Amino acid sequence: MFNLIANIERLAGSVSRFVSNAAAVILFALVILTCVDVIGRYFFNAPVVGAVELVRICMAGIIFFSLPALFFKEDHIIVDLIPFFRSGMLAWLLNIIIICVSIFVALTIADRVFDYAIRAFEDEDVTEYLSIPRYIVVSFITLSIYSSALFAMVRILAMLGKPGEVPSADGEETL
Amino acid sequence: MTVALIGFAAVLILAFMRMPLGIALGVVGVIGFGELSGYRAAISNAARLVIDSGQSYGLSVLPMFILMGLLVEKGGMAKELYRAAYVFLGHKKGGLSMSTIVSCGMFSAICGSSLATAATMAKVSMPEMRRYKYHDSLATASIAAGGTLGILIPPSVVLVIYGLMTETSVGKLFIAGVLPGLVGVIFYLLAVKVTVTRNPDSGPAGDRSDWAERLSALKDVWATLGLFLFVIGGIYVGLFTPTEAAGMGAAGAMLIAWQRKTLTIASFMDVLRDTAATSAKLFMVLFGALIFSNFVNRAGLPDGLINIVNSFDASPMGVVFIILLIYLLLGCVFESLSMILLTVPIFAPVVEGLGFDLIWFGILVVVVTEISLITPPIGLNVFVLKGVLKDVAIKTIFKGVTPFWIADIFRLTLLALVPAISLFLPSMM
Repeated sequence: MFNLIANIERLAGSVSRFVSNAAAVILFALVILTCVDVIGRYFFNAPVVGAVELVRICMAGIIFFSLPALFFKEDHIIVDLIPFFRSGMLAWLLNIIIICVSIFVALTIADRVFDYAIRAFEDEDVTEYLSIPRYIVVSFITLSIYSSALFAMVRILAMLGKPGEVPSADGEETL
Repeated sequence: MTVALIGFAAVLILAFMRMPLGIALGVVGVIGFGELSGYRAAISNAARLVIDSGQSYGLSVLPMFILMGLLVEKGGMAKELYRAAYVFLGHKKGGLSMSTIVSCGMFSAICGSSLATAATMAKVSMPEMRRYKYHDSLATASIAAGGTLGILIPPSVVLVIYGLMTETSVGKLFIAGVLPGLVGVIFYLLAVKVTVTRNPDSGPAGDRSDWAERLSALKDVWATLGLFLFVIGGIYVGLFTPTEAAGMGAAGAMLIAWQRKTLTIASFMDVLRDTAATSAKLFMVLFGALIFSNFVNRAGLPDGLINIVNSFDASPMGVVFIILLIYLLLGCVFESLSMILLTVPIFAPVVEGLGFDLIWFGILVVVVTEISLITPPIGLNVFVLKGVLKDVAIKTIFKGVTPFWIADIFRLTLLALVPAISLFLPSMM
């Protein structure tokens, strides 16, 4: 049983690394795209057609490729003020309940985002300049949120294998 | 309004129980909105917000400016900035602390994070100050306080978030932060001066540098400072939108790091991954904050507060000072980002309703947030320093920070009473 959990955790870790790399590559592409657009506009009078749409798609790629890893590592921003909630059996239980709530929230939102994806598909909704079907991006967002819920479940499995042990929070203030 | 206050209390309780801030804000926002307008509408609104803000063109400045800051941080440019400040100020009493403040200001001009500024400058300036036998209290306090400039001097992550929440121009907010940031540097230099005047042993003078050294130090930092002028100047003269400026800035930082050979492909990928992860973390909280903000507005909290303020017939400036006082109190127990995300949706409409400029208020909010970063008991910059300098007691840092904290209160009062300091540059755009 413990082996199975460890294997699932390892697999989730590998997937999480893969999606983090994908987010990193898209971020690099976003920087290059923005520069090419600005340089093209000022020096060659030829800005990238549909640059705004591409920037928006890149943003979705960066954020929603990173989201599952965020849930897997529980790397959220938290208010870590009361030591009582940091360790011990109660903290462990509370942590599991909080992750369950996170999963419920993710699944509820993902269901509705999926509705929007279906609507965009049925309406054949496309972007203004490049005519990129919007359902592709919205479906990707849906998949990302469902995956995040799945990754949070793996996190719970790992925690259940170590009763009373609260993993140290990776979340930190980012200002 | 009562529903909104209950919601506010619920967020606080959940957040203190270590529920991720974004989830706490989102859950309470959806439940609150659901109770007022039905759950179907609440969930649909939340989903729409996630889809739209997750693909926001305006918010693309966040990952690119974070990337620019991380590249500068990893690129080892902090050392050169410190040296450039040192050759001009090091020979004065307290000169190394002054150099720390000025180099923090310069580093802030590229990096939008206070914690990164404090952590990076600690590694560069602390060994020098120890070499000249500076008291730990003055040395660490100047780093902690100087670091706070990171979120005011553009680019600033906090100003981008404020701009999104209040629908004010991020470009104007950035430009508005320039003069208050410079005022901050001057006030901190005065705080060092006062400290060394009262206790000359706390900050002995360093060696005097000749003009050849000064020119050589300036030559080392021209690229970094040039990048700042290019990015912020570009926004100011209307050459770029903030998103384009962020892209050009990030590319410029990549070029500088590449030219200095400070990054390998592996470490560059690390920086990209860190940036994407930090951005996703921020966006999770933003999603929650926007959902919560919808609920608070639907529940009529801002209108209710405006009515209360009007019924007391208080002077508008008096109300602003009360709000700032609330921020100062919250800053004692709340970390900065949570404080901003929780309060801006409530206070900004009130301030706007009183006829004040939201750009000016944004600068005040950021300065108060800066103060919270060095206010006991949870001043985060102080704890970051403690993490880097393990042999210094927290008490020592907080003790040294007091003159800087007082300087900040003077600056806050000045900025509140003289809005032109914040609004002059944006008015010229």
